[in-house]
Parts: sequence; structure tokens; C-alpha cells
Amino acid sequence: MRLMMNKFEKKIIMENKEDVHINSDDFLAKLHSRIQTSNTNRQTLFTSLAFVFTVLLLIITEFGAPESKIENYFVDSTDNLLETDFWNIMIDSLDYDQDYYNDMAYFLLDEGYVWETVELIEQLAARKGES
Amino acid sequence: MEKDHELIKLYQNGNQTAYDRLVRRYLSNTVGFFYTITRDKMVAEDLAQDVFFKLFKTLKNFKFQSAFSTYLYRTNLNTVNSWFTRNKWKRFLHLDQILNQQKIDTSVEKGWIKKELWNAISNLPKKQRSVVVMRIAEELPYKEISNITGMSEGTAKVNFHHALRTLKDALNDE
Repeated sequence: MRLMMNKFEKKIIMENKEDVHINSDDFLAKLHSRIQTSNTNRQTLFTSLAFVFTVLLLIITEFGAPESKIENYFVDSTDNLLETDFWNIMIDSLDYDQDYYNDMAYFLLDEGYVWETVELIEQLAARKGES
Repeated sequence: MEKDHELIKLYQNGNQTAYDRLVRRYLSNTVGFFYTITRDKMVAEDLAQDVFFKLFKTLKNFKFQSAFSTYLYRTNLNTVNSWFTRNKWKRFLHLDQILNQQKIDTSVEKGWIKKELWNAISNLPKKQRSVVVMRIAEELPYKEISNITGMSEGTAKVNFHHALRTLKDALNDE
């Protein structure tokens, strides 16, 4: 069995023995060209990665974008705008000065609301009396 | 003539021509190795290109712990194993070659067909295949094979014996 195997081994070794002639200069030229191409590809890859990284960094950090002025677009405090309804004004009408009532009375008279004017004056007088 | 390790040291110090000299020294042996297996000069040359391209990159970190020839054989073996795997898929997909295959099978009874032998080798398990490739294509002793593949001499011998038996059956050798 062992002898048969050795015979078989020798047979396949002998069958496969063949010499190949190759031009080493051509082979080396091809090899150098391949190495150069590989180096160029690697450089291109690194440059592309660096470019993508820079773009991503700029996007994330918003570097270079003008500083936005928020107050141009909305008012910080909305209290004054929203709280101007008549029922929300937290000021007692008596606190208004006499000129305000006078102006209001003249306005109502101009508009033809005579009785309303009288009522306003009476209310003012009554409140003054109370205070 | 400078020794391999001296040339590698020169190459590691930036001397490109030292690498060229190393390639010239082992070129015909490497191409011959691949030609024995592939039976195609173009493919053999391409595989040799792959090997020396890999070595161009890896030799910069060579640690001088083994002979360059052992390192080269190991690279050759890895390259040829990858080629076997690629080729197996190619053969599997080339369904139009089934008829030719039948013709080859009948002619094996009359004589040797090298292509058929290497097809049978490519179907062996990886360990057996590695030993057979080193033994048949390079005629290396078991000690060298054990250095290259990392298995013990005894394991290499056993693998080779099993591989030969399988090949003998596959090729219907009397």
C-alpha cells in the first residue's frame, strides 16, 4: 500500500514538472505600474475622505454661517402683545388721570353719545365719592 | 551575492532596486509554481503579480524570524488557496462544461490529464490541499511544509497520505 502510494506520488510529481520562461523586465514593469496605481488610488481615497470629513464637520458645526439675530424674527416677550385685551388690563380705571376722562367725554359727545357721556361723568363722580 | 535578508533590509531602508533583485531571484520559481497548478501562463503570471504586490507591502514589516523563502511559500500557498476557491465557483457556474467533463472522465482511464488532477486537488479539504500543493508543485520536504503551514510534520504526512488516497480514487488510478 505504502509502495503504491509512493509510486503514485512520484507519478504525479513527474507529470507536473514543467519549466516556464518569463521576461522579468516586463514582469517588473507591470509590477511597478500596479504599485504606482495603487499608491495613486490610496492618495485619492485619503483626499476624498478628508474632503467628506471637512464637509461633514462644516455641516455639523455650522461653521462659517452668519450669526442669526433672533430678535429680528420674533419678540422675546409676548406678554405686552397678548395681554392687551380689555379684561386683561390689570389697572383700575380710577388710576387714569382726569385728562383721560375728559378726552373720553369729549370723544363720546363728538360721536353723539350724549347719555353715555352723562353716565360716564356720573360714574366718575360716584367713584370719586367712594374713594 | 547578497542574502535575502540583506536585500530585505536594504528595501526596508528605502532601496527599491533591492526589492527588484529579490523579485528577479524568485520570479521563475513562483511563476512555475502557479503554472504547475493553473496550467495557464497568463493566470500564473497574474497570481505571481498578486504575490509580489502583497510582498511589496508586507515586507516593510518583515521581522526576520524565518527565511524569506518560507515567507514566500506561505504567501504563494494563501494565494493559490484563494484561487482554488474562486475557481471552484467559476467551474460551478460554467454549466456548459459538463459535457467536456464527461469526456475527461473517460480519458483518465487511458492516461493522465493534469487539469483533472488539479481539479481533484482543488476539491480536497484545505489542510490536505495545502500539503499536496507544496509537495507536488514545489517538492518540499515535510519539515519545510510544517514550517509554512504551521502544522506538525506528522500531521502533514497524515494529511498528504489521506489526500493521495482521495486523489487516487478520484482519478481512478490503478
